[in-house]
Amino acid sequence: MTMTMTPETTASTELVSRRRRWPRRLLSGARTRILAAFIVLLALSTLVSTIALREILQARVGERVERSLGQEVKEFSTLARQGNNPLTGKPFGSDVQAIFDVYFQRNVPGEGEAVFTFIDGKPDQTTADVSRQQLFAAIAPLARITASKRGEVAGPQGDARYLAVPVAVKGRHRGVFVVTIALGQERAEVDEAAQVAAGVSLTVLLLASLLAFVIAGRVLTPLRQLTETAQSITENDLTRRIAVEGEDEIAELGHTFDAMLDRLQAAFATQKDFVSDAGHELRTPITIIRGHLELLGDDPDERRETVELVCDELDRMSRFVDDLLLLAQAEQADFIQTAEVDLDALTEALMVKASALGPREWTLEGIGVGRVTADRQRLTQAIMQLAQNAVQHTVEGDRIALGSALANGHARLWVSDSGSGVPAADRERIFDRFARGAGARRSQGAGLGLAIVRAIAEAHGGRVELDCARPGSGATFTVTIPTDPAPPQEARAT
Amino acid sequence: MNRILIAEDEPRLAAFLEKGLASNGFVTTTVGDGARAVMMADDDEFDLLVLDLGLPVKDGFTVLQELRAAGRRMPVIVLSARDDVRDKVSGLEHGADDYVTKPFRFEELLARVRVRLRAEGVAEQTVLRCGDLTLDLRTRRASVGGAASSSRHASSRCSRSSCATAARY
Repeated sequence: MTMTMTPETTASTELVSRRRRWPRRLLSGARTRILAAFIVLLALSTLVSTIALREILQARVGERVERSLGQEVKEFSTLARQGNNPLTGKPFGSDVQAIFDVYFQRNVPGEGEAVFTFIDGKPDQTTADVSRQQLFAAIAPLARITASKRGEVAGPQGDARYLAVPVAVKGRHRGVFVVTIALGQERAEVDEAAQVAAGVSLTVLLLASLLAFVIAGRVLTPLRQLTETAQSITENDLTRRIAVEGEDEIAELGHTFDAMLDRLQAAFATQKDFVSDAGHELRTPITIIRGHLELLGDDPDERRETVELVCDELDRMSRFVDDLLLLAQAEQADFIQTAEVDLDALTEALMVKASALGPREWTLEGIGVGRVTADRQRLTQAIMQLAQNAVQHTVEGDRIALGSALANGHARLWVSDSGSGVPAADRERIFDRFARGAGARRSQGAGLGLAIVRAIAEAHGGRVELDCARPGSGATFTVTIPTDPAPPQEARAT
Repeated sequence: MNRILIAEDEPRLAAFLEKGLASNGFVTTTVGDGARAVMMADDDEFDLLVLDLGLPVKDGFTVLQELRAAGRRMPVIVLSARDDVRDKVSGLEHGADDYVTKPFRFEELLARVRVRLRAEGVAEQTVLRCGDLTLDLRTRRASVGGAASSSRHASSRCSRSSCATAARY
């Protein structure tokens, strides 16, 4: 990881803190943890499979040894029962010594095998060529057995497995035949095989870990990019994106992050535009007031006119500031104070108030009878704003209709005018802040009216809609709110 | 007599611009939208254009572009309520000669108007004559038949505007 120091203090402190984090990251980082988990898993499986392999091989060795022992004993008993004494040409009869002699002449023991015989409890012969005494001593306890016996015995060359059978002649136990197979060799072979398997597994583990390290790094690269991008994002630069390719979860995270950045950028842009627009709206009256005062002469009439104009502009600014504050309040939870409101009484009160706004043909189109939970004052403010707009877009004698209705758990309040309507191009943005219709003059307000109406409607959990079904023949603005208390609006679009 | 075209849609703003410029010896014409600004600047002989950016019909940038495209070289002073650097740069790139941010002091605008006219080599008439009455707008001194008298007096405004009116014809 390379880092370049920049002269900015903030940037360099950030880098320092990132450097400090680095050793900790090495130990607790996702890549390291993935790798550690992988190695532990792989090591565990290697261990288990090696042990299992060894055990299985041991078991097989045991089976083979038992088979060999059984085979030897079978050969011996076949000889004893059915064989003839080559010296006499007759069956052995009770001559145990002869059976043993013939057996030893005819049989060559396999590798690791040894045969011992006892006659009357005394060692007789053996195929083992070394340490005869010691071996006989080791199996001496078997010299007088009366039933066949299996077991292991510790010899000078390691453990050996034995099978001992008594040899009975005419109901009398005369001798004992013992076959042993040394286990040391077999076991050493099994251990070696297990060691080889373990070695191979360990090598594979190392290679796999290396691969896992690389793969984990590659998989996590988008995450690192994500972190770096997130760190590089400031209020002034929201333009960077992650741009992850692929379809996996991390790519999805990248896309989600990018989408969030899009929204953030849009929100910042909106905020910036808002401040800029607000500045514009305030600067115009300030310019007018300043200009008129600077050029104020001594003429009393001119003075009076200027004072009137300045007062008017100050009123306008004051109204504008009130509107701005109202919109700012609309973002807060306590913007509306709801109570039970009689819709019919409210509608009638609105009608009376609206008729005072200007000489128009005011019509009451409908009265919804019932109760709604709403903020009466704010709702009145919204409808009066719509009525005011209607007055501005009509001339004396034009018809403006007010009405309300209750249906499906929603209350509707509308203001309909017979003015010129809203051009299609403006319908989308008309509820945005500072959105004046094309050609509208400043004298008609700062363009916050409909934004306030929308804020009030949305604070009630409702909405405001524009209906211009008949183009060129007026606009109908409808505020729709639920009659029951709405759950608080978490995030309202700005 | 310098003629100034004011393109400003806010009547109250245009009103004091007219008043102030007229009392300083300029002849002004005001238009309220961009389309008429282009038309007037094309048709008539104006020495300078004071242009608001937020004009209806055609905004200030469009007006500037169309004027420059049509080969009009008159100095243009842009008025804007936005002091964004981008807006300023954009205004100047579109061919504005100067940029004044609202709110501004009228004196400042006046000074800039004068600087632009001087830079263009347009002789600004600072002495108004009417018969044997002369009025120096810079020194604010009036003289009748050569006899100087201080014009720092309320009536100087009247004589100044009447001289300006007389000088128009």
